[in-house]
This record gives sequence, C-alpha cells and structure tokens, in this order.
Amino acid sequence: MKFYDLHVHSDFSIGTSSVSAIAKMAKRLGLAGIAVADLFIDEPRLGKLREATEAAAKEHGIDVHTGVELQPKDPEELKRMLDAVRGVADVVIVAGGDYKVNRAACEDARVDILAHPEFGRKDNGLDEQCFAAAIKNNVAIEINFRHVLFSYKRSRAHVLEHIATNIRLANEKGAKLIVCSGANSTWEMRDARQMIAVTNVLGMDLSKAFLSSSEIPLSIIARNRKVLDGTEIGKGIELV
Amino acid sequence: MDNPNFLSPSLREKKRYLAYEVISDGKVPFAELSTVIWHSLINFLGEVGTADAEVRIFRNTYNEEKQLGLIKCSHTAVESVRAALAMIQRIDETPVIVRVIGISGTMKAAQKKFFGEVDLSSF
Repeated sequence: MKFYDLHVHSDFSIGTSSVSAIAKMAKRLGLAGIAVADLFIDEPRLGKLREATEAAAKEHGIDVHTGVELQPKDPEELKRMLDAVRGVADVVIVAGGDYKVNRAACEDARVDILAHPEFGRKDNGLDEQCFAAAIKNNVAIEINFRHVLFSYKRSRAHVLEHIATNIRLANEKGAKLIVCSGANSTWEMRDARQMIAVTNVLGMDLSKAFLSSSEIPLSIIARNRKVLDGTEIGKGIELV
Repeated sequence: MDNPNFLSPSLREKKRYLAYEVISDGKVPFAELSTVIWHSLINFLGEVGTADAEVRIFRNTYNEEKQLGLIKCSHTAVESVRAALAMIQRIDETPVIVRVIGISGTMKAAQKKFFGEVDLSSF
C-alpha cells in the first residue's frame, strides 16, 4: 500500500527544511509521495516551489507535489485566494480554525483539504452542515498530526477530544478524512503507519485509517492532475 | 520456592515484539531512549493504559550503532504503543523520530527478520 502525506511545509514559507531534505526524509519513512504545501505568497514564488519539488522528486525517486496552504481571515478572502491558486497548485489546503472559514471551505469544491478545523477552538469546529457540505463538495477533513504533537498535557487532551469528535462525526456522516503531518521540519514528519495508529487510538476504524493515508490523498492528486493537465475540462467531463 | 511457577502458554497474555528504529543525527544511548519511551507511554496512554499494554523495553536487543531495538507489548496494545512512540520528538536536545519497522510474535523471529541477525542454532 502506498502512503502519502499532503501537508508538509518547507523553507519556502514557515518550514525550516529544504524541499530536498523533506523528500529524503519522506523516502526514509516509507512514504510514496508528499505534497509540499507552503503558504501562498504569489505565483512566481509558487513557480519556484514547483521547480524545487520537481527536482526533489527526480533526486529521491518519490512523488513530490506542489501544494498551497491558504490562511484566509474570512470567506471572502478565501474566495479571492482560491481564484488565484486553483489553476496552478496540485493540492489546495485551507487552514481552518475560524468557524466561518471552516464552513466556507467545506462549501467550496475548489478546496481539497480543510486543515485542523479545531485549531485554537474550544470545540471541534465543524457541525452537521459543514460535514454535509464537505461530502457534497468532496472536501477532505484533515487530522493534523503536528497539532497533536505540539500540544501538551491538558491542551493535548482537548485537541485529542476534538479530533476524536470529528472522526466520529465523519464516520457517521460518511465524510472523507485525511491524515497529514503538517510538519514544519523533517523531524516533525512521521511514518504514515504511526499516524494511522494515532487515528486508530482516537476511534477511527483501522481500515478507514489506512484509506485516509493512501487512497484519499491519491484520489486528490489524481483528480487535480487531470485538471492541471487539461484532460478534465469540467466536472465529470474528460478529454479522451 | 520463592517465585510462582510459570503460567502455562494458554494462560499467558499474547504478546508482540515491535522492532523500532531511532532516526537522529547523533547516537542515542539506551538509558536516555528508555526514559523517553516510558515518559511518552505514560503521558499518552496514562498509567492504566501503559499497565494494560504490558510494555517491556529490552536493553540487550538495542543496537546503539544501528539504533535498532525491540519492545514487547500485549497483542491488543500494538496500535497504542505505536501511537505513543510517534509522540517522541527529542531526546535531551537531539530531535529524533522513533519508528516501528515491524512486528513479530517472537523475539527470535523479530531479530532475524528486522535486524538481519543469523540464527546460529540452525547450524
């Protein structure tokens, strides 16, 4: 089974490791592919990141994709950001936390992943409407490993509780979950099997946990690759 | 007799041996690694969870050169122990990743399969 981690930051934005070092560590950890999802600044910078990911993929022999993480303040800003990046990035991640942003991300089919919806909150950050919209628009809800790793004692207990709630609701409603490291350096990256174990401990069925780290990221990449290549010209319309 | 007799195999808890690898820039001594693993287990699983997991960390199987070792746990606690090991970030000030490279039912098989050790008893 091939495992993917679609949320790693490099030194192109808030990360501290180079794209090449990330790809090297990913290979050592047994991952088949990663997406370096840096914060979106402008298109030329994203172009440079793509050059770096392509070079790292060739150097280390694993799939390295170019992603972006958007950190909008409100739903209007999210729409503007999506207009700018959707046609140029392999993976589009929206940093969650604010309920309005969480909901807007779930309601927009251009979003691939809603990252850490519970971030900085005293609840899980999602309600039934969000889950229904996420299912309709094929948006995956992220379980962010870094959020667990960098919380301690009481705050970790709260983070785990909120993630467990999202896992339970996603399982009940049938929403897609994806497990990502959210790493800012190579030392925060983890073997996919370990992240699967964490989600399993939090209540996700082991078979679903495997899917959230293999088939779901793979389907996101395959879908976006078709759009970027120009083979898919509309929803459900492909050039053959 | 000072000690109780060994339990018969059907009464013993089933166990698993987790072969782990420590990824770090420098060498990690066993004493520090063991302390950090216990700390992570008790922090993440709690005292009762750790007791249920029946964890043993073996000093004599740890290879400091290759940074490989074995942990024994209950067969029902494999995922919990794996998750607790994922929470380890650093030993002293050295950033580390402790990764489970495989699981086996016996120590002998784990050493043979994951550490590439030759079974001399078969000669």
